[in-house]
Amino acid sequence: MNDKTDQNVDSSPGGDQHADLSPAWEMQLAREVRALDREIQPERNLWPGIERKIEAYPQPKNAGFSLNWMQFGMAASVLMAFSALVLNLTDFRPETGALAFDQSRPGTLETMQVEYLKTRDPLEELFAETNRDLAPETLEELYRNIEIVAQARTEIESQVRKDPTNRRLVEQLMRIHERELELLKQDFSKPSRSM
Amino acid sequence: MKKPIFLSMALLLSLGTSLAFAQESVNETKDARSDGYVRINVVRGEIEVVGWDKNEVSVVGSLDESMDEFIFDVKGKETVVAVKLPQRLNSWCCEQETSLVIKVPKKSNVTISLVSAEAEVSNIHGGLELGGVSGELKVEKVSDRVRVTNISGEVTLREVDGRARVKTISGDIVASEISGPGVFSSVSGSIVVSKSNDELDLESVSGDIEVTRSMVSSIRANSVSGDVELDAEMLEGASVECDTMSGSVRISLGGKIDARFDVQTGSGRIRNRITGDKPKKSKYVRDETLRFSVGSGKGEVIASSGSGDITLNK
Repeated sequence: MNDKTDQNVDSSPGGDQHADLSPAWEMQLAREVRALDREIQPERNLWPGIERKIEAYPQPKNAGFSLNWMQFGMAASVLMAFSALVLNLTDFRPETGALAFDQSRPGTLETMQVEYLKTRDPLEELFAETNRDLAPETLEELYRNIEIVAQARTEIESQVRKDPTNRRLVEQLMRIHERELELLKQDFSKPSRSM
Repeated sequence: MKKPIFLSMALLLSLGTSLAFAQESVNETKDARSDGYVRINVVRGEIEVVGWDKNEVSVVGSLDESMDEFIFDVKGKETVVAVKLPQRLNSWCCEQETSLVIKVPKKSNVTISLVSAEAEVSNIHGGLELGGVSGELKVEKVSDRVRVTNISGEVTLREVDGRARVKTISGDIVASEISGPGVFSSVSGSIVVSKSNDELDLESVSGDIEVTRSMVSSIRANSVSGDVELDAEMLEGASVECDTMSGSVRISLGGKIDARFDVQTGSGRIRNRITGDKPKKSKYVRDETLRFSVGSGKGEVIASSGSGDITLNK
């Protein structure tokens, strides 16, 4: 039966032969198809042939990969969640290092400002006391410059607020703090070198 | 008879008073070590400090009218020249101030502390430390380490061979012919450097920064709101970094350019006149970036501005 079918298939027109199909040939083919059994039972020797073909082509180990993927996926998820937690807690920023303000904590810069002013303001009072005997024009000049430094500090602070991850700005803010404190600590009535 | 006695007493008293407040002159010379330390303290007036070939310190000039004490002392390697004023002056107005020319061995290490005095220092080759408040400070032909701090007075450096460090608040810094690493910083004063051939580290808050006619191995110039202008030739593998938040940046490079460029501005514009590369504009924000390389890209030029324009010229 199979042989017959194969023969029919083999003899079936294909490619360029389509153009030569005649109605007589079609009717013959239809008769043969009707004559075929409705169900075809596979022969006993069909599966060994299929197995041989399968063995000839190595198959991917789907089952093993699937299992590993799940495990790796779960491990990666746990690792990512842990990393996110650590990053959140330590405020680690690879590009900016430690010298950056945490944007998610809006009070960081304000806290720093408050702490800084707690140090600075008493020094301003001390400055007035220490340098009261200076020439008025010198004192005026010094106060003008103290004001300049304070304005510069405010300007940098506002820039830091806009871009808290800018390390250069944060460093500059720290330097202006340092300079302001040095200026206020100085006793200009006794000439000294450092500023 | 009583009248002439009274008159002569009044005359003597007025003479004594005028002598007491007259400006004193000084003209003294003392032997000193060729490589000693010289410390000079003057509150107000003007001084000129010059290095010479003699192993002597000489002080010539006039002393402050309100001077409390004049010290000129040499002990071993250390020389002290100081014009001391009383702790409290009755008046700062209209008095004759110190005016001195001090000559020291040129290899001396000199430290000068001033308040509202002006100073000119030259030919010192053992290191210099100079601090003032409002007077103008000029330093010329010095070598070894030079450190100058001033509050509002201008600082001028010329022909410095060695490490130079200058700090001011509102005073301008003008430096030329610097043959050593220079670190210059001001708050509102401008910084102008010309003919430098070493590393430069320049920083201001609102003052402008300008570097001209220099050959540099490394420049770092940053300002918060001041402009940064650089006209220099890069040595092989040199690094140029110009950064300002709201000012503009203009970089003009002479000679052979062999560098990578990384330029960025937040809301300003980038003009590239070195190559035909065009800046990339961000789709959603107003920033522009430009990255390109000239030659083998050994050097590095990084320029950024928050809101100012950046111009690259050849």
